[in-house]
Amino acid sequence: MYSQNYNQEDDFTPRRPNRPNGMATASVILGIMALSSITFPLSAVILGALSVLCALLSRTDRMPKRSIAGLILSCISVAGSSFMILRTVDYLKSNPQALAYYQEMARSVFEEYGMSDVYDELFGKYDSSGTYQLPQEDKSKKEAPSSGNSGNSSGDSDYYDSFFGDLYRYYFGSDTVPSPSVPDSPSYNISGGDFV
Amino acid sequence: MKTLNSAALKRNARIKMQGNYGTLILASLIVFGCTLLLNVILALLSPASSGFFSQILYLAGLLIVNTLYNVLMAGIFRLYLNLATKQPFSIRDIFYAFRIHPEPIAVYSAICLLAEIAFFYLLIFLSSGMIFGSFWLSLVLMILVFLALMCFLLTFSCFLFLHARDPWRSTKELLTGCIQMMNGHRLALLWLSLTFLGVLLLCVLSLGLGLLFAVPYIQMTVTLFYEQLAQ
Repeated sequence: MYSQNYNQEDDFTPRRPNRPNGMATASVILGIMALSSITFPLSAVILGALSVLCALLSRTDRMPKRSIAGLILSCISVAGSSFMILRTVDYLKSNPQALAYYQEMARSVFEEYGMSDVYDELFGKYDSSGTYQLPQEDKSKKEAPSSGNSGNSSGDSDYYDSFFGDLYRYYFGSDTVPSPSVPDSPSYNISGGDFV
Repeated sequence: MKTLNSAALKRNARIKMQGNYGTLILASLIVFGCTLLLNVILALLSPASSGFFSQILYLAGLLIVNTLYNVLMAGIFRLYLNLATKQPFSIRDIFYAFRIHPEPIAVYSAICLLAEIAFFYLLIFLSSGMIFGSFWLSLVLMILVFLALMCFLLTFSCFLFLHARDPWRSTKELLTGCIQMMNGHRLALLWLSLTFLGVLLLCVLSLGLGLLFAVPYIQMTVTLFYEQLAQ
């Protein structure tokens, strides 16, 4: 019963040649999803890689048109997200204040999961008094705070405006958006968790 | 000597798998789940002490886990072989070796485990450099031992396939069959394995999700490779 005859010659022809190629469909769907998530580089790369894999697996004699479409979409999304990553890294390198802001966001995530000590160990951006250490060029501003940023919510909002305004100008040029008022660089208190 | 074109094998594998990915992915997931479960159990039961008897017990557990894994892998080969040769196939094929003559698989698992342990300790012994003193001599010997291990693994990698093809053969017949079948084709198998590096890179980029598709693809290509050699 179990010793079947496996010695028959096989012509390797598809059993159902008219069957729709599911891998090609999956490739184009994943390519569209990758393109739509281009602003989330990690998911764009994951979906793009899956799309390319499905396109490769859908090949028989030649690649179906849907697979080619999926391949092109995923290539565009991976290239676009890579470009965004590189530009963002470049921007953060040239703008230490934005880098500090990102680090603060990352720390709050670590803190939410009770891993703030891990973050401090990895990045170590706080001094012994619990004040966030801003880059050297912003310390002069911190020492002379302006009157408009004393409240927590307004300081936070101004900081957002400043950061995203800078980012927008960096990507699309400096003359296209109204320039937000640049607030003083806030310091950050670990114990309170708010801008002061 | 047979000519084994890796591109043609891959093309045939893709054609064979069209419309059957669901079953193949499910089979891979079952084997992965069982292996993971067995390894977790082994890790939980492994003794904390490093005494001689504790090590023996750990090795016995490892042998059992390896045997069960190889039995399931023989079932995987059976499933792919049925698909490749247009025989009726189902997900139950992966459990066939539990019912049909599993003894050779147990012996094969023991041989593999002993060989791997022997090669491992030999490599550690050579890397210590206490005996030969010379760094270069130790390095050359380590490379030779590694090549011998590769040669061993490539030679006997088709054991489970041969068992899936004809489960009633004895262990000796299967081992002899492996040596005869892979004679002169080890490098072809190595090259075929290396051609999957691109696909595996895509799997890494997709955080392992691509393995759902890549593992059946690789398995089917290797099955067709063995099948072509066996004919």
